[in-house]
Amino acid sequence: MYEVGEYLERKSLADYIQNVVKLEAVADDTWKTTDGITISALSNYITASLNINQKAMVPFEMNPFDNSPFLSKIVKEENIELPQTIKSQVNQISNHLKIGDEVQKDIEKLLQKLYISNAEREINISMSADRELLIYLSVNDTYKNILVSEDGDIELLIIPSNKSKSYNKTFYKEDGLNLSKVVSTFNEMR
Amino acid sequence: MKCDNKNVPSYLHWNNRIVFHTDAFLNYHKLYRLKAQNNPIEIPEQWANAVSCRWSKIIKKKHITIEPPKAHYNDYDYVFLQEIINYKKTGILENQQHQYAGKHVLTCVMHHDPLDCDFSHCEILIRHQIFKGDMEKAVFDQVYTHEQWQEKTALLNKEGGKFFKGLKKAFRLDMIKLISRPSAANTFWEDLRAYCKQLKPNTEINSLFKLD
Repeated sequence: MYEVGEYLERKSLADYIQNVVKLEAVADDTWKTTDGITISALSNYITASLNINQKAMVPFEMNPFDNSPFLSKIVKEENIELPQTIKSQVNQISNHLKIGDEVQKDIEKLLQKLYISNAEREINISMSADRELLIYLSVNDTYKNILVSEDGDIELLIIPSNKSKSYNKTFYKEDGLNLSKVVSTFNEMR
Repeated sequence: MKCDNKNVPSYLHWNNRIVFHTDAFLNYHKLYRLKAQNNPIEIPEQWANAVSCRWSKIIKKKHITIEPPKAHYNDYDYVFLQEIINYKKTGILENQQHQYAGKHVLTCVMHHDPLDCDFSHCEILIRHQIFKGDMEKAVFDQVYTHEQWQEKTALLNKEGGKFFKGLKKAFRLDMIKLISRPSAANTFWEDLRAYCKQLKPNTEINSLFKLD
C-alpha cells in the first residue's frame, strides 16, 4: 500500500490528486484503490476501470477521488472525438493507399488512444515512401513515428536528432494487435 | 539533352555524358542524402526508391544543397561510401517448407543514375542473395531496381510474412542510421578523424536480423 504522492514519480499526476488515497500497485502503471477501483496512469490522463465492462477516462483536471462528482464527470474513451482535420487526413491517405476497413478501424482506435495520451501535442498524419500511413509526433528534436502498413502491421520508429540512434519495434497484425499495448509502448519510447 | 535550369552549375548537368560504372565508386567517396523533409521517414511516394544520393566524385561541396528542379533542400546528411560497401544484413528463414528458406543476405550496390540536372545522382540499390545449407553459390541473387521496388515485384517487397517484412524494415532502419553523419561534420578534420578510426560506421548496426 502506498500513498499517491509518495508512490507516483509523475509529479504532475500527484499534483492533481489532492486527497491522499491508499493505493495498491498491481502493475507498473496500475493501482487499485481500497474500494476496488483500478487506476492506471497515462501521461495526461488517469484511466479508471470501474468494473470489468466499464472503462472510463478521467481527464487530469479532475480529482478522481471526489465522491459524487467522480462518476458524473467520467468521459468514456469511445466518446472522445478526434479532431476533424486528423480524421479527414487519415481518410484521404487510407483511401489513396487502399487500406481495408478492418485496418482503418484499427487506425481510428489507435489514434483515439494516442490522442488521449498526447493531448497537448500535435499529431501529424502523412505517408511513407513504402506506402504506409504515417502518424508522427515531434518531441524535443525526436521524430516519434507510427507506420501502419496496408496489411495492418504497426511499426514504431523513433528517429532522434542523432539519427544513428534510431530504433524501432514492430507489432504484426497476424499476431493479434493489442492497441493499448502499442500506444503505451509508443509513449514510453524516447 | 540540354538543361535550362540556371540555378544548377553547368558541370552538374548531365548533357548525355557517359554514365560511370560501379567500379568508379571508391571507398573514400561520400554520398550525400538531401533532407527533403525534417522527418526522414516522411518521403513522398513518387520518390520511393532505393536510397537516392549525390556523389562526391562529381558534386562540389558548395553545391550539395543547390536546388535540383524538383524540390527545395536546406541541409543534408552523408555517409562514406566504405560504410555502405561494408554493410551486410543476414537473416535466417528457418521454415523449411518455404520456397526461400535459408540464409538471406542483404548488401548494397551502387548505381550511377544521373538526372538531367544532376549528374551526381546515384542510388544505393539492395542486393538480395539467398543461400541454402552450406552451399556457397546463391540460389537467389538479385539487385533490385527502382522500378522493381516501386512496382512491388522485388522478392523482399512483394513476399508477405513476418520474415520478409521484418528484414525490409530492418534494412530501412539501418539506412537511416547509416546515412547519419550531419553536414556540420563534413570537414577535412572530421574526415581525417574518421580515417584514423578506420572509418567505422557512425553507428553500431547489428549484422544479424532476428525476429523477436
